[in-house]
Amino acid sequence: MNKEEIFNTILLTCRTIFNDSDLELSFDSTADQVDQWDSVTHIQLILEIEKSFNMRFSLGELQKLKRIGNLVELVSEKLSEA
Amino acid sequence: MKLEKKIKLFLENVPFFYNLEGTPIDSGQFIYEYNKIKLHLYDNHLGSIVAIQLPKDYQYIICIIACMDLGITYVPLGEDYPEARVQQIKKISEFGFKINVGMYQNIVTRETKSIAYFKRTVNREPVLYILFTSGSTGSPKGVEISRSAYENFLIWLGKEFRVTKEDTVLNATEFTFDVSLVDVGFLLNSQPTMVMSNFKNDLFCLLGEIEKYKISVIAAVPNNFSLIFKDEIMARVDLKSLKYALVAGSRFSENLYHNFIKYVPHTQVYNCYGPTEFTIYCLFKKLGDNNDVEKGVVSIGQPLLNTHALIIDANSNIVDNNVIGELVVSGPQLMSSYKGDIKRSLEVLININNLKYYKTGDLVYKTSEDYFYMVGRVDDTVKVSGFRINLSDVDSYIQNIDKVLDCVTLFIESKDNEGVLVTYLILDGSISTSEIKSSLKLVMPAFQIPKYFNKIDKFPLNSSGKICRKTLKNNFLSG
Repeated sequence: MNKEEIFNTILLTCRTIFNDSDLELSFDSTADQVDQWDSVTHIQLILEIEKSFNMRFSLGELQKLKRIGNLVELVSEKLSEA
Repeated sequence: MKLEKKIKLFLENVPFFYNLEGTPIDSGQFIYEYNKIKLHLYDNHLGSIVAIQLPKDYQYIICIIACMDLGITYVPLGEDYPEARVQQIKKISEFGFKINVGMYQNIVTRETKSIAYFKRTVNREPVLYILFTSGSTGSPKGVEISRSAYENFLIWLGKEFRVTKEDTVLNATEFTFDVSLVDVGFLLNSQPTMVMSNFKNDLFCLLGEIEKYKISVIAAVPNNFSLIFKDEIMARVDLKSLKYALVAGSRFSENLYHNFIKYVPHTQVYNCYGPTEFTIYCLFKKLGDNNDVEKGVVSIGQPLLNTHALIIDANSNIVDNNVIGELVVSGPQLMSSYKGDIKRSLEVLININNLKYYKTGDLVYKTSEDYFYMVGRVDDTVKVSGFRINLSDVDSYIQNIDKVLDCVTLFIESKDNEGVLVTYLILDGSISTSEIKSSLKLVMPAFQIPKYFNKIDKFPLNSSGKICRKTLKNNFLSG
């Protein structure tokens, strides 16, 4: 799976979790830019992405995430390790 | 011990701080910045009221303790407060000076006199701080808390918790929320290491901080814990260091109670209760006995040191055990008044048996063992993440937006979450949710802005012709 495919999977997951089918994100998007991205939806989002890609992130990995692009990179790295 | 003596002791034993970036701040740097701020306040602002609007970091604590030290009344402001809100608060509190980031940097980098300059004794103002809380008509209320009120709280804190220099406290709350003064209290009482949490909305970050810094003490809101207590999250974290969890600010659910036992059985958990008007907490329950839960409600325990709590009916008569009524509290931690608002102060302060009591607006009952259980509110005030929000107040802001004909805001809770604000709107024309939120961000703090806005043609009415909130809630929950 390439990074664009990973991004699209994450985007679809975000649209479901944030209940916004028109949501547009980029690699540079951050939580602050999305109204519905709060403490509740953040946890839902991470757990759903873990399920989608069949992986688990460590706390250290999660703490480094600042942008959607970081998440794409992290998923990509873990997929290539598998 | 007087507050000024505690501060002197603290300054002689300043612990390590970890700032928002995780950088250690040693006592030398802390004292250097502290003395600069204190000198500036001493030279220019004795006898006046000072507002603090800084990021939630150690510099905020420096300013708070410097104000406490000099007896300057301070007003905490959120960094994200819109200017309109700051001006409202300025008008009510009459603060004459505001420390913001630019001002702070300016003060700590300029040349000043040496610390030996402090010679005069200062006349300390009796009001320690003025904390603003939601009003009901678009105007916030400024709660005046005295030095002696906080001193009583500090005595209780010192007696109840065995926190020492070896402990590490995580500051997880904003300084506009009085629970942050629990952390300041631990600093003044016993100088533990202090970590300034950077978690915002990311609870994985909070968990990471607890693990990384081996946090032993945390004062937080229920949602900080209820959201993380899941097998798939707890399996990746080690919370063995956590000695005390002080939980307050909104409903402590039975589900959360059982999850604390399941996931952190070694942690001593406290369910604490207190309105801003009574200096942080006024009742508390040290969880771990047969009185913890009754009929699905987690006890708020018993009054803390020197506090009296009664339950009254609509005629201000004291009710019997197991009868629901309004909780009223009295004691040294009671606020002085709402700043500049005698009318509102008189509405909530009543005399019973020659003692002044504060009417909390919370519906409670008490068992024969003298444990209190909270079951609801007498008005439409709710608590979200520790912040008290009056729903009528929220509506009054929304109704001022162009194209909004009418609105009603509801607080909707689910089993696991503390609840969200949902507004139903009748519009005259077209306006998007983001446009509404943008308008509100100009006049009210973020925590007061509803999460969801639903447009509706007309409100459902009940048999007496009032808006049927129950129908709206059911509609929302059924999706």
